[in-house]
Amino acid sequence: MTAAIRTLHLTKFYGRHRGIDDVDLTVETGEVFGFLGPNGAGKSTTIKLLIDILRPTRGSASVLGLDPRVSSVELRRRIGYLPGDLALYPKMTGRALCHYFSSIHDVDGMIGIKSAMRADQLAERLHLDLDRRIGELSSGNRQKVGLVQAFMHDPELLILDEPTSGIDPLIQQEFYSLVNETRDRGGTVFLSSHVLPEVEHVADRVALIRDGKIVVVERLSVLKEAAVRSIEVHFARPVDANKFGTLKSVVEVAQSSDQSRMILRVAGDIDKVIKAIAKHKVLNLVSEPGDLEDVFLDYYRDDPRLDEPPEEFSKFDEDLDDSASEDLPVEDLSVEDDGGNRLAGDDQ
Amino acid sequence: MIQSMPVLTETIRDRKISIIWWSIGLVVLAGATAAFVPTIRENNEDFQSLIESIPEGMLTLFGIEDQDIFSPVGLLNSRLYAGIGPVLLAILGIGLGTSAIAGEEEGGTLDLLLAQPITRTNLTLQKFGGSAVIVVSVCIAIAIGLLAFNPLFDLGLAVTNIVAANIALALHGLLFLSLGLTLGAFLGRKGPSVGIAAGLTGVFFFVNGLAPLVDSLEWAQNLSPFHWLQSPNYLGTGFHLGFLLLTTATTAVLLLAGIASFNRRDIGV
Repeated sequence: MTAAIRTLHLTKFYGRHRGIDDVDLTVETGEVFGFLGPNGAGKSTTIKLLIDILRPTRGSASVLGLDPRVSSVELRRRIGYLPGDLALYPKMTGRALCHYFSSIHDVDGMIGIKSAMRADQLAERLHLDLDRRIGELSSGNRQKVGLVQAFMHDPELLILDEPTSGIDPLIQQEFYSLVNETRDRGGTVFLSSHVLPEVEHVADRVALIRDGKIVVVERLSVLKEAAVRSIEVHFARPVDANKFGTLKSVVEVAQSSDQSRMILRVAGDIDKVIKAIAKHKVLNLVSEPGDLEDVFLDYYRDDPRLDEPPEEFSKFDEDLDDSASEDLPVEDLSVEDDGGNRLAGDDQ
Repeated sequence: MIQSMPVLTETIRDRKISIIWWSIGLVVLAGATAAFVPTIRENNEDFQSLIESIPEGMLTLFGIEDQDIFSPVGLLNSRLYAGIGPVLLAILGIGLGTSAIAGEEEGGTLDLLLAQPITRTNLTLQKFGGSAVIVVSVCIAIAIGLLAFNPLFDLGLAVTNIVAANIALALHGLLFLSLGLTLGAFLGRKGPSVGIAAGLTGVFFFVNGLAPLVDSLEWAQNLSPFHWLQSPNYLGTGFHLGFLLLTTATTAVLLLAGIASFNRRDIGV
């Protein structure tokens, strides 16, 4: 089967500014693919190259087996697109917008009728009033109009740039159902986000992009297993931090000066850590899921191919220190060096 | 047929209110000008001596050239088809043209519109077509107005000539429409496109008025679309195919250039 999306050395420069550099991606038909990266990393640039809004400086892309430059009309007939910086016609109602776009899709009107019915269903599920003018809608509701128009043709491929931004969590669940339904009927979904939680409910695989370059493409389950989470524990009495620092899955330990509070950064198996904590009397425990940068970090830590840390790494270390000091007052902290060294790629 | 051009119909629908206001405005202008005709006719000698006191340069600048300004034809021609009329049509055309692509691009909607199954060429043509319908509608309104004022104020205009003059006026508007559209398609920004188009319009307007006063610049008048509209005196003499074709050809060349540059570039950068 042809891949839904395949890019080869895809590169885009804006003048002398780098947009994306040498991006190789393959998204298989029927999968939900998460495209992750911080803002400005090149996610939208990649997406716009896929639908011929931008033209590549070098390299090529193939979408649904077609060249976006050559077969743009046929290609766009088969995809649904939600732009990241969504702008809609404020004077139109949601319904008028859907009608406008489906009339471009279909000159005979049959698909138009089908799409109109589908748009109504979608609007109902997303709790959106299609009869209000877009200019009067909140940004969350405008985003829903964007989702409706992307899904209404039941496209083979959905390309969604930051789809859930501004949408409240309950509606997000509905969105995830829509994505799953698309996959169930054999469709492909490519969705970008700057935060992992937005895609981790639905994505089969994710690619991480940073500074215009693909850092890693991996099954989400693998990344999640390796993700660093942080556990903040408040003990009743002072506790020796070294007991935790020697545990295999503990990446870093930070402790307050009275030794009663501790932040552990844990990758992978959490069981031994919890059991070690349970040996002491605990007043409070807060666990936070790993964020995107932690996933990057951890991936490198476990990657035996990397003898030297990449350049971005020093930045990550700074970020780590920053995030630790946000949680506890700086003067209370004595950061163990142990974790930092291991992060920098030393053998374990 | 028109249903298969959703961008064209949407362009018109989006502007239906402004079509009405532009039409009213220009018909009122035509009516106000026509209403002067009976008065002027009664006091023809006074006005004639007034005009003889005005320097020739001023007259040229106001579009009064070898014409009897106080005849119905002369007056209407100098107002509607040489003076303010062509400038207003240029403004209408530039406004529509720069909105068509640059306006959508700056508003951020072009991205999503171009993600629909439509080529950039088709999109541009439909945008041009929809805007052209608006320009033509306004000129049809003026023509209808003049046809009504003709007996009312005893203007004595030939119907063919009214039709000819308004076809010429519409084509003049389309030329500036394609100028605005092409600049917008090339630059992707509305502000600079309007600025450049307005600047060019100013140059064309004054070249038409001033070039004849300077011997060495007289040829330059031939480059001004305002000259192409004014010099044949459509209202007095009827159709003048050469100038109509020249205006149409210029419009087509501009439009093709706009499509070519639009097809070649990135959107929204």
